[in-house]
Amino acid sequence: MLQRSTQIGEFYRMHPPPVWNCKKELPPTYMDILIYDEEADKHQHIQFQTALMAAAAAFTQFEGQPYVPETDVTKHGKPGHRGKGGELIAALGLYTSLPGGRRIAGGNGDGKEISRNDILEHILRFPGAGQAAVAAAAATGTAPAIAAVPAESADENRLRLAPSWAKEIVLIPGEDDLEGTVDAIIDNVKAGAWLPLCVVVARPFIEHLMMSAIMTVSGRDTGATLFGPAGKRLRFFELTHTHTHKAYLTFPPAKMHVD
Amino acid sequence: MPFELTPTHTHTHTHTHVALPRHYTCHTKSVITKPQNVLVMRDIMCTGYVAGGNCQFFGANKANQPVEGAVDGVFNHINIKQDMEDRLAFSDDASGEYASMLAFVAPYYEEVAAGHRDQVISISARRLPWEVSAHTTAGSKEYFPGAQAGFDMYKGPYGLETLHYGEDQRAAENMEFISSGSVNNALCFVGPHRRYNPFSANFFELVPGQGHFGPDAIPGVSSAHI
Repeated sequence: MLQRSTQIGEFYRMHPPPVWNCKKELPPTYMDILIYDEEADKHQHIQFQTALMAAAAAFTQFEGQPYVPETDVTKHGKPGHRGKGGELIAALGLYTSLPGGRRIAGGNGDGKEISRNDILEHILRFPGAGQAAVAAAAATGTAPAIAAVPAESADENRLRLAPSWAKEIVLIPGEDDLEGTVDAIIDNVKAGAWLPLCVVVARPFIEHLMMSAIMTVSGRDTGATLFGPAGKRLRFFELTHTHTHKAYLTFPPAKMHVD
Repeated sequence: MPFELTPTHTHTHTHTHVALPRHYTCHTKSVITKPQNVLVMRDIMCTGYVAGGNCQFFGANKANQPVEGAVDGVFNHINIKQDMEDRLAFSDDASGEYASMLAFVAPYYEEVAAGHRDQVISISARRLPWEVSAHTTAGSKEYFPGAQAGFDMYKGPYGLETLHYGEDQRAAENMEFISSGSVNNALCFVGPHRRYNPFSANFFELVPGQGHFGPDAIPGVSSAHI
């Protein structure tokens, strides 16, 4: 058999239960997963907060590095810029607008603090509406943060999301505050709030020594192994022979042969 | 295939009994006249673990000082990228300890609720066969977490476009068994994992793996101990 080193990859999705009564509190570990650790030979508990922090690292912007704005907003329907909490929220699909021009990023809207319930309610009812609004706002040159969804739509079919346990957390403490944004999301999850989040954990370089095999049907029907040209060199006389051999595989009974 | 003849098979003109080692170099070639009789089975048996199967996130083991702008002073994309390069180059021969995992955020409605995400993703610029088909946006990575927008966000910080640098393209195109350069995987299938399920008796459900190592992996099956 032949041996070589081969990599494979796996990925795992962290997300809340698709069906849930939002009046009830979830356990603080509802986003966590268990996966197999081949080095330790045991299952490992992967916390959501660790995965989120690892995923959010892509939005880190270091001081002294050039600011790179995302200019092609309309292409992907995403606002913001690298290194900001706002872009993390956009990547999570939570960047949306609330009725009345309020925004989920606190501070600059109509001056009111917006609760987690407000955010969740809107996102539940208008998935993707935020991105569409952002794209529209970018096309017209207005700031994406103040793009609003039509209020008349917001009054229909309101979800009953007023549990007393809900924490009144503004989801985004600031556009530029990446760590604060991550902490706010983690606080919401630990409080048991159902949030439409998804973090994909990937292990792309799982590497093993793998064996391969070639199986053939024996017999002349399959083919032949040819030898040649072959040189025979004599030390004293410097004679050289060239032989050409032809070897055939054995004839039936046909059997599978592993070499 | 060099080999040496034994003296009993040798003869000289002087008929002396001197050991005369001969050397042959012969070349063999298998000629298959009926390919349907031959089955090449690649990577059918695992004989040992090398790396990449632990639960350490890339960038987590860097004992750097807190960095302004980074999350918790630990995770930042520079460390993540460096950790990936260390792992793929096996640069730490002394300890041989490398991280294994990456994480990506994705919109819930695209990734889960909409249900159009596939069970395999490509984390590099290489696309899945069905990502280049007609029904998707031309050239877009529809099945990466967050689709093309997500890939655009992560490809730079994590160096995802450079994963295949240095590969033997000819070997890859011809599906040759041995490659003269590094071969880094970018395809990830759903792996077996357990997640919270409020309606299960033990509050956990197994999400079966759909990749190379079957639907589940439980302690005791590690090839590291073979």
